[in-house]
Amino acid sequence: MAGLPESGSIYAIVTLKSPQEVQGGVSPVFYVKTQQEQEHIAMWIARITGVAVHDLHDGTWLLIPV
Amino acid sequence: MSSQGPPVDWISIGLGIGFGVVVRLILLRKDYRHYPGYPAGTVGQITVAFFAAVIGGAFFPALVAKEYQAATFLVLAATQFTGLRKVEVSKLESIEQLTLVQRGSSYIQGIAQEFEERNYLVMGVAVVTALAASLARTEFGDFWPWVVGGGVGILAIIVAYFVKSGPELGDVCTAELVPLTFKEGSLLYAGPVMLMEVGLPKARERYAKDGVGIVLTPTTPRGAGAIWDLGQRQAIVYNLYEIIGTKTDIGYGERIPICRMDLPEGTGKAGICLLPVANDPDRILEAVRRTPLLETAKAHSVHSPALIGWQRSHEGGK
Repeated sequence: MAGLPESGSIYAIVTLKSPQEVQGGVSPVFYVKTQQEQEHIAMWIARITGVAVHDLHDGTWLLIPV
Repeated sequence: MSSQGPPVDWISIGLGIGFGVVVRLILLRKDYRHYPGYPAGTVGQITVAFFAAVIGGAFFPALVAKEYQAATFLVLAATQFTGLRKVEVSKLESIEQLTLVQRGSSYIQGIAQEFEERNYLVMGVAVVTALAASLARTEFGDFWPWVVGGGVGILAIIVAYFVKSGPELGDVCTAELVPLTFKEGSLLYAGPVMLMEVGLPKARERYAKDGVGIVLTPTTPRGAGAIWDLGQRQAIVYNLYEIIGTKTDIGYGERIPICRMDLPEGTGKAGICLLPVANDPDRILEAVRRTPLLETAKAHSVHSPALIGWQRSHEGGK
């Protein structure tokens, strides 16, 4: 999609983990408390920006431009 | 100039132009689906075909009349058609940004090349027809050009119809519908083929509810080579998007259909996921089978004679 970073880079991180366990580096991190909140935030960012959500199955979701 | 030479052979030229334009009309009717701008594109293509037919039809009569300069226009026309191909490529490339599923550069080159080749077919039919009519006129008299020219023209159209485009995917692969499943929570599978990771639960629900999976199995070495080619796979997916439609839009990146190979096993099968707008199994399979086999995908190393020879010697050496 136009305007997004290169496909394959990490656009944002939505995680249930603590700031000590997951840190941003180049991409912003959204710390959430429940899976429901995680789903909500990830879906909103995906719909707004057009990225795809990928689940690492350890409580961390990565938002990657397609 | 021509008033001093022999009279202009209007019958031959006219027959050449006529059959040249007719062959383009027949081929145009056959595959208008490749062309987005139906009315505008059609007029443009017929006009160019007319020019090609005029040059082709006038070629042999011009040689007979010793108008050698006129004959060299054939070469000039070839350059023009190459230019038209470049225009076609840049046009299709520029609209790529505003399509949800990209054609891919391999498919674009294939389409443009095919349009260029069709003008050569028109020119070829016109040359052959005019040549036959012109020879018949000098050999037998004024009535025979119509019969001989017409007969040869029809034959040339039949030949052109069969060489117009290469094989389709259905000739080298079988396609079957399979259910889409999720394994390990979020990995999307079409039959045995893993496609991608779908993280959003809502997106997984959508795929489970509306999604359709397709598995491609090559039946010939050529097919095996073709589907390893990324451009060919993008062309298949684009054809599905164009003919069947997919329920996606900007902001729904995970819904864009993809075609992936069966890895890590590397069985040579390919899987496709699709959220079809028109969920008609026959039409979906037909859209996959009717995808043209791309030039770029035909010459793939998997079925290259060199590699097959290497494999044999390698196995023999064990």
